Amino acid sequence: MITKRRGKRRLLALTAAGAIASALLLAACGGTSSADKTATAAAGAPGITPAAASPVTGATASASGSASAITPPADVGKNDKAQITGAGSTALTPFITTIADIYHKDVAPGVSLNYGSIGSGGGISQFTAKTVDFGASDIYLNDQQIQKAGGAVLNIPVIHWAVALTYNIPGFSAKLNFSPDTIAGIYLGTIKTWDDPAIKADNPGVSLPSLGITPVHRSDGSGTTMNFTSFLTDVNADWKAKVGAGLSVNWPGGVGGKGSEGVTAAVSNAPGTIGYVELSYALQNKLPVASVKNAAGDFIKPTLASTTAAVAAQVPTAPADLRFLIVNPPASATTAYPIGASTWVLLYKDYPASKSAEVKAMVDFLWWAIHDGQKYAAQVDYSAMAPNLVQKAEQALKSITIGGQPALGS
Amino acid sequence: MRADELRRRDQIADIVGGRRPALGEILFRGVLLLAVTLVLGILIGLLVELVLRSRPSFAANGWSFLWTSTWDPVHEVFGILPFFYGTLLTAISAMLLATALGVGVALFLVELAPRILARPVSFMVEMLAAIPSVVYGLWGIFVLAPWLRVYVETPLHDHFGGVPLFSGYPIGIGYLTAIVVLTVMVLPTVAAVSRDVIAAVPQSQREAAFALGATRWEMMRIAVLPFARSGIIGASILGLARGVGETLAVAMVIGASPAITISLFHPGYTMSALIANEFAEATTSLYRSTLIEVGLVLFLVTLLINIVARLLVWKVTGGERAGGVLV
Repeated sequence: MITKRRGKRRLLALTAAGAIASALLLAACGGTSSADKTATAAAGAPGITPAAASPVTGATASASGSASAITPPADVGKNDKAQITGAGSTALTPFITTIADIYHKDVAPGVSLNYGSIGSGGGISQFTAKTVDFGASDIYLNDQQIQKAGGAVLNIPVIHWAVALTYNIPGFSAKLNFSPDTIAGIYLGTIKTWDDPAIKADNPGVSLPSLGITPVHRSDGSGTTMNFTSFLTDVNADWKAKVGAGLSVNWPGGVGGKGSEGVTAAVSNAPGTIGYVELSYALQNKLPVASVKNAAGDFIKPTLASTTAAVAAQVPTAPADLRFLIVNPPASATTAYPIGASTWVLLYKDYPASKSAEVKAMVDFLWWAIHDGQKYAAQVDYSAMAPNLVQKAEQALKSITIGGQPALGS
Repeated sequence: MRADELRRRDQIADIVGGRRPALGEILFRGVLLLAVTLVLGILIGLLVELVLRSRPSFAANGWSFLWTSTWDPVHEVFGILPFFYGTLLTAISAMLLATALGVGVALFLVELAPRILARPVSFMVEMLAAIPSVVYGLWGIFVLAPWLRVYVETPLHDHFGGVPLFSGYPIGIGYLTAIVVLTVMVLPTVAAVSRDVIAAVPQSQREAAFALGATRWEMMRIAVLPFARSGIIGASILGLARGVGETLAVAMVIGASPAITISLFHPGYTMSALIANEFAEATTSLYRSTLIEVGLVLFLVTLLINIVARLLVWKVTGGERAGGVLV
């Protein structure tokens, strides 16, 4: 009975294969176990509010603390020799790798940067585990995370971007406007067609088809989702009660796409869809983007300049520890696009003398990055820091110490 | 080879040759034992780790985790029923489609195709298994999904929109696309195993069928397929296990929207896609632990499938009457 034998042997192989497959799967799931121990709660944590950050608690560093009076020159790091390591936000990658190359070539030949584009959550884990010199995240650390980090932490925003709404309406070429409540209604599923009165009211005199709307969201945990849902939470009570803000949320409906490319593919493939992506991604892929009504009542197109305008309007009311979101800026900012975002560099305030070369090189590099480095932001379709924010970031960098001595200009 | 069998051989060698086992023999036995212990150790270690890390989730979510449908990371309310449903729906549908296709391919290769065609075709079918998952995902989202939306989903929706299976608004991304992608990914496994099983049917069986006046199709039906049945069932269960575990390609095309629906056009979600999408940015400890518990459930489902597979094959081969051994 050859077949029966064969069948049995086959079965053995099959069971073994099944066991190995499961084992591999588990390995994949358990792989981050070491990071897990130090991993900290973040942006998805309940109770985070999109408005200005909660009051500063114990371990949060106040930026203005021990700032040195001397302002270092722009090329402060030219004699540094070190390799800096950082990890985190994928949104920061194009900017930081571009300016690190320029810095290495033009300012400090002895300094090179090794940046791991592993996502904000990974960046926070690596930073608190102290395996990198700095972390980068699309959301600042909350109080609980700072406590876990074991030392005073600085959150310094170094680059800005906007969340743009892109859409697919066949035969439509006019400018599309949305008020915040309309966006919330679409994603809540209460606005179901493109010729809904709410959308018509935002776009007087424009003909819109009687086509169903399918909202598309990011299926993977993402800083883009965080800032988008923070905006909706801030402007719409229904959204706040039903969904809230986070890196992943319980979407009331619609379709998920994996990554910006997944959202874009879903939107470009199917008529009637709307999705949100980073502005840089929309610009580079020449996607149509909608204008959004700001607090001043104007419909503003997302651009690099309208994003920086939003940042500038938020800075005066921002807390000293720079933990603030760029959503729904005050009505005084008439040219501001209301769904902005930042990427923060995460640093400790006090470093031991043992790592002085790396830390000094890193602080010098960041000093250059918030000054001369900002002019390269537009090259990679990101928005530069507002001048009033640069001043606050300067204070933060000046407060960093190595073995008790100021790191800058030492 | 089992240790006691090795020992028996040693005894035989002792009697026949009158000498002690060579050093090489002892080393070889040690290496084999180590390999077996390692595999079992990894499996058990992972299971223990999974259970330990799931405990915070279990304490917070309880048993209702398994049959509730809300997945809300912001408010930390977790239920996995829609993900469970999506996993089973996509994997079982893909298994059925791939078995039908795979057995057809196997029969063609073994019984009908001339040798000059059989070899390159079976090589090409096996090559399907060598394509990386992410490539299937990209193909799914950029080529297959738009094509299905325009040429399959839209016509079906226009003409049979009243049928629950084809209700909803077709957008290309969803259960149907995920099932088709999974079918293509599972097909080489099912086809290759079925081909081997069918090729192993003794030639005398076929000749006997022909001698009774059977046509080619009747020969396959009465002589080949009954003989190969257990192997084909094994092949399709292997395909099912592959379908349950497949992650990336499904995550890219399924539309990531937890929903229990019969509509093929609706976006859905699977357990493996959920872990892949959310684990990296799961930032609270309960959220992480919950995703690990999802992994544990997935593991148990795979285990169950393997057990069912054993039982099925055991039953099909005649159980104890035919001298089969269950475990």
